[in-house]
Amino acid sequence: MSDRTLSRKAAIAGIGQTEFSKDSGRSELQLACEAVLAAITDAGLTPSDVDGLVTFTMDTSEEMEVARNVGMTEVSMFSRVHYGGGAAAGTVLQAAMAVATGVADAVVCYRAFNERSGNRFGNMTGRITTLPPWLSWYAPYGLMTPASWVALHAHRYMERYGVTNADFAPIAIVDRTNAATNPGAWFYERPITFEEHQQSRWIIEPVLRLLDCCQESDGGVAVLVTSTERARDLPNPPAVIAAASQGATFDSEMMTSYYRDDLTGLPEMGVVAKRVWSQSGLTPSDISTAFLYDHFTPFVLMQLEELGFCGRGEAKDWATVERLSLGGELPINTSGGLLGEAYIHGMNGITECVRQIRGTSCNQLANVEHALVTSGTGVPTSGLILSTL
Amino acid sequence: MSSPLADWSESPAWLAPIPTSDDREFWVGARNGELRIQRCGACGLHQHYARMLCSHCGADEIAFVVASGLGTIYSFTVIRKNGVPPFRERVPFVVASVQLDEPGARVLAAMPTTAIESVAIGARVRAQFRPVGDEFAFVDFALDSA
Repeated sequence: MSDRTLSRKAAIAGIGQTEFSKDSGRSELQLACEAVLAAITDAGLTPSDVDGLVTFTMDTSEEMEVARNVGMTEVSMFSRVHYGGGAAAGTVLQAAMAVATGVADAVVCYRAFNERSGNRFGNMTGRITTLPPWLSWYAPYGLMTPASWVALHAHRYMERYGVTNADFAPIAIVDRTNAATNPGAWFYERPITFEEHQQSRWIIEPVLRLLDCCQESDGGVAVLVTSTERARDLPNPPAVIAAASQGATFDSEMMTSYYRDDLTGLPEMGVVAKRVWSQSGLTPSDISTAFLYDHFTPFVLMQLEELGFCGRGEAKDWATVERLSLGGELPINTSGGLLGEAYIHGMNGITECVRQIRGTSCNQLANVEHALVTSGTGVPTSGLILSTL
Repeated sequence: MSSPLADWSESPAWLAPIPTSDDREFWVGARNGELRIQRCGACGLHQHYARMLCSHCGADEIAFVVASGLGTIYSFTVIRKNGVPPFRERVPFVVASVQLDEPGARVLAAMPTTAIESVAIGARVRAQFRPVGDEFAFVDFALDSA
């Protein structure tokens, strides 16, 4: 391993979040500040110890507003990551690079929104006057919502590999089962059966049913990143960043990418996979648990293939409820994921994997050593591997 | 049971294309009843939408040619819900990714005159042109009956 590696130089030492709801009743800035302050407190630090901030380009809470409101004094590094939910692990990558190089000592990554009670994605009613360039080839044909964007990829994938909607059910069942025992999850105590999945209404026939699509949520999540060396002395067991990478490829677009040769894979995640495996020196069999970004279930199957857990077209047979459940070969989305817990743009997957590394999840697994986190798919994306010290 | 087809002839101003120097040829061509795509003189492959360089080989020897307008459905979806006018009144309708007969090019477009029940991956389609504003037109597709 080269001296130039980022691997294990930084760690997540603090996590914070608000409650997850459908109507927070307060501003996005308020949610951001609550989550940021909770992460700083969890790390055993004070706001004046924090000198870096990273968020999503889509976030409405400006870095300096957050800094002012929580009481940070000197901020030496601030940065934003683009491409919607694809940014989640990317914010931690930025923070890890900053602390590994000494640019900053403690960086907080945050994401907070009222995505359900405020501006909902895919709702363009009355908001559009001119189209952004990436949408100008699609919106005139009425292709304007995330579910419809995903559908063309998923439909071709299903046709090529003989996949049916029933093959997506295990993802929804596992997520909702895990959410059912997570008191912080929106779908707490509300698991679903295979029959309920198959009876839920079509959103995009024959691709997506209602229970294949993640919920919309209000809430905020933050994580505090510092050097592994410093994290050793802080109150909570560090979640060491064994690997972090963003990923984009030729002809990547925001959710669409219809002009690439093949729509049956998620090549952005292929880039992330290659980088995180080589950076960490780990392989899929080393992973104790994974948070796989689950905005739409078909893309979870495609991620399993891109990450090398199974071969191309094999996920429909590999991704069984037994294998993906708590105690299985690869337990996924142990907090319930975006479908079951909340849709906080993937940041809540990072915090859950930190809890698994610490041993404090409400659905705690035994002997967790390495947790894999992926971010939004169908967009330029990112991923992380978190490990024990 | 076949759903009645909506009228797509009127489009609001915010949906009208704002052509760039790279893609103006496409929009003007559509108004003239032609599907104009780019062909690379170096590798011979085609591309849509318009770009500065060949997306297959990177060469800058690209020029617009008139495509046959014929192709095959690569993937598609049916839009059943869309809260934004005019699409709110147009549902349900098909949006398809069409592999053109000209090697290398695919076009994503709506199929407003085609009943949703009759669409399948692999079906043969033909381009149609729908005026928008005074100078340009959208390219749509319909099942090719020929």
